[in-house]
Amino acid sequence: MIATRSPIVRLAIQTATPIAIVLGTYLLFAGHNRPGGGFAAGLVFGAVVVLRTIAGLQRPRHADTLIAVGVVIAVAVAALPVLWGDPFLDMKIVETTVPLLGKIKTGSALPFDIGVMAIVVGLIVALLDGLSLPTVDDTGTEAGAA
Amino acid sequence: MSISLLIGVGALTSIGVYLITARTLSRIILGFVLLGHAAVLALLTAGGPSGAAPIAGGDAALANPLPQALALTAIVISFGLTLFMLALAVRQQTLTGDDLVEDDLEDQRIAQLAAENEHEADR
Amino acid sequence: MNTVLTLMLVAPLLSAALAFAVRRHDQLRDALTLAGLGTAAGASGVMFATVAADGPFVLRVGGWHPELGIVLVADRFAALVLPVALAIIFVVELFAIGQRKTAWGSNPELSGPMMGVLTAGVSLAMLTGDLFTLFVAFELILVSSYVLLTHQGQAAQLRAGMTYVVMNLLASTLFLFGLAYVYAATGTVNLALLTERIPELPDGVRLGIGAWFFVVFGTKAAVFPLFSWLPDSYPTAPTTITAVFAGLLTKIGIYAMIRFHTLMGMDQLGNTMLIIAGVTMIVGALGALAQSHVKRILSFHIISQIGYMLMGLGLFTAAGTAGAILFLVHHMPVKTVLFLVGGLIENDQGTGRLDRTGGLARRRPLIAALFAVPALSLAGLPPFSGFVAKFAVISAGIEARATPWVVLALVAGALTLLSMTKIWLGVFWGADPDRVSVRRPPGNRPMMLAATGIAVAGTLTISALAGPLFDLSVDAAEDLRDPEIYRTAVLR
Repeated sequence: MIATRSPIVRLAIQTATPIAIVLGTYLLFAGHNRPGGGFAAGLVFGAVVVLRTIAGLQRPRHADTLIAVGVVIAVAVAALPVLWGDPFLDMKIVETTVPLLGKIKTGSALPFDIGVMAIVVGLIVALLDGLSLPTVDDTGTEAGAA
Repeated sequence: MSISLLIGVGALTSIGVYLITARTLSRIILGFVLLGHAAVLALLTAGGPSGAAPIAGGDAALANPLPQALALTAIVISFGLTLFMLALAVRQQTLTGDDLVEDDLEDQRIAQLAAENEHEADR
Repeated sequence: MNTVLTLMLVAPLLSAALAFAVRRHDQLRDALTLAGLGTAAGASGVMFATVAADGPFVLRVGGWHPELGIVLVADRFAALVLPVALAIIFVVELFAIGQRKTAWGSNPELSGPMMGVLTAGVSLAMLTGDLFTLFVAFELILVSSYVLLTHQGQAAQLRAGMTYVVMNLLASTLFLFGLAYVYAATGTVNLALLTERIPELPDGVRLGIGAWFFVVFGTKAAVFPLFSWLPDSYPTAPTTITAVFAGLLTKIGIYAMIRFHTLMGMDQLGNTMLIIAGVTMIVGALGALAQSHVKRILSFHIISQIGYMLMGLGLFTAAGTAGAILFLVHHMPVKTVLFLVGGLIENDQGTGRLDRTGGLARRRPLIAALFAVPALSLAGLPPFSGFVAKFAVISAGIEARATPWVVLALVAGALTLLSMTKIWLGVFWGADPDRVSVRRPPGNRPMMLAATGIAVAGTLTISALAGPLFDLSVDAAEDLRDPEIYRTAVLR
């Protein structure tokens, strides 16, 4: 993975990271009835990973876990309503009043969105691995059905 | 139905089609990105006039939410496919050193046979 | 029934995710994959029984009205074809697990989970009640098939995969444009509502939409001018993957075509379809004759056989549609088995080239027997299922007085028999090859032979049950030709 050495880029990305994380989290929770949602949040978090990788601040890891967990969460949330006789992908809406925060309205769309987000981030991490130019010894061998 | 959107669809489509006739994979990928945008624009155009955000309870003229949902799904899919094609292009670059799309295998065989026949006829 | 339909989508996806998470533990991964695929196949069997007893079932996803939401429709057409498709995937996965124990299998860490994603896509494509979800299902199938085709990352696969990816991506983009046209013209993408609104459109718009989707589905189905990607890309992938592709992917294009064009009453496109069907049959069969590699011959035959199904559809009569459906049901398992046997030959001999194999009937009589049954069925000889299917299509043609296409179909059948004979002569009879194969063949595992045996038994069952299956095809065709049935089921 090619990482830049420029201190300016590094510093800028370091500063931007928490802002982007807040934005991503906002998008994730706002998605229920405002523009946003799991995919948009995943893209923002994915962009954070890409930028930090370019800056050499971290290595992309755990792609498989993210994808697998994401699919399991999303599919499970989609399928659970079937157990009590509701249609596939049915949504339950929950409203509670929490002290200090006031009325909170959320639904089973939220865990679904979290699953989607995990898949998107996982895919971006996987592609960071896949798109980086491999070294000579893993170009594969010429064998198999031709 | 807005004429500027339609012109946009036409322009994106023509550039996209031009690009996917290229031989280098990177241009083909760019062509597909543009074609995807054109298709999404066409979907939005199909949805009729713009309006307020389609949320229950409003009283303004609402935009049709369905084409937007369709467009969003299409965008997500083309995003994934673009990334996959980029990965393929990188892989081909490491294996063959370029990202050219090669001749059709059957075409190559027919050309080879034709060349052999000509060779026979010359003798 | 609610649960059954959900299981067909959820079980393979869930098992794919779990199998991917534990992909380094061979046994756990394979068990999970098989469990997912098996659950889906079992659920489709239950669906078949329920639909046969109670009629079509409709699931409104998320409880939304069909105007806004997604519906899954288990009508008699889907209930007939889907169980066959899912059973095929299950058997091929058994073969794949056997083959992975040899050096020539697909990369197990990816291909198992990806097969799960493919299965979910196939279920969704056959069950969906609206065009946009069909688009999503196509993409699901294509994404997993792109990965399956190229995941080993060899030069030949990448070269072929590139053609495959570009062609299919182009078809997907056209699909999206087509959706925009349909939505602009009618204001919906739901099939049940479209059966009401499309016939009301002016002729030009209506036939334009029909022709546009004919091109889109035709590219997926590899009909005449749009087939060039198929014979290049299929033979390069590992056997199991080619077998699934050959059995299912092009057939999904035909399935979509039968559903869309029949439901929408696009009878006026019939003649165009018949012409293209005739050319497809002949070009595919001739192309197969020119090849000298088992898998390439079989790949060209896929194209030829697509022509028969298209012919049945293009007649736009009840008998023709029923014939096309029966052909679909017969063709999927037979083609898959032939590719599996092609894989057995390669694993045994080290190559599938006809000039480097020979005498296999003497040394491996079991493989020869496994090949003979589906090959004769493909060529359309009685008493196998291919005969019944071809007979259904051809007699529908005679009934509709489409004589030239009947003649072409018979000629293509003779050519098919000829190239099956070619494989038989090259691989099973003749002298043993001089040991020229560079690569030492890994041989076959009992599990591979067993899976192929199960599949051959399956094709024989279809032959034995050809009569009842034909009746079911007629029922399914009735449902499709009378949109009222579909409409009342969905909108009720």
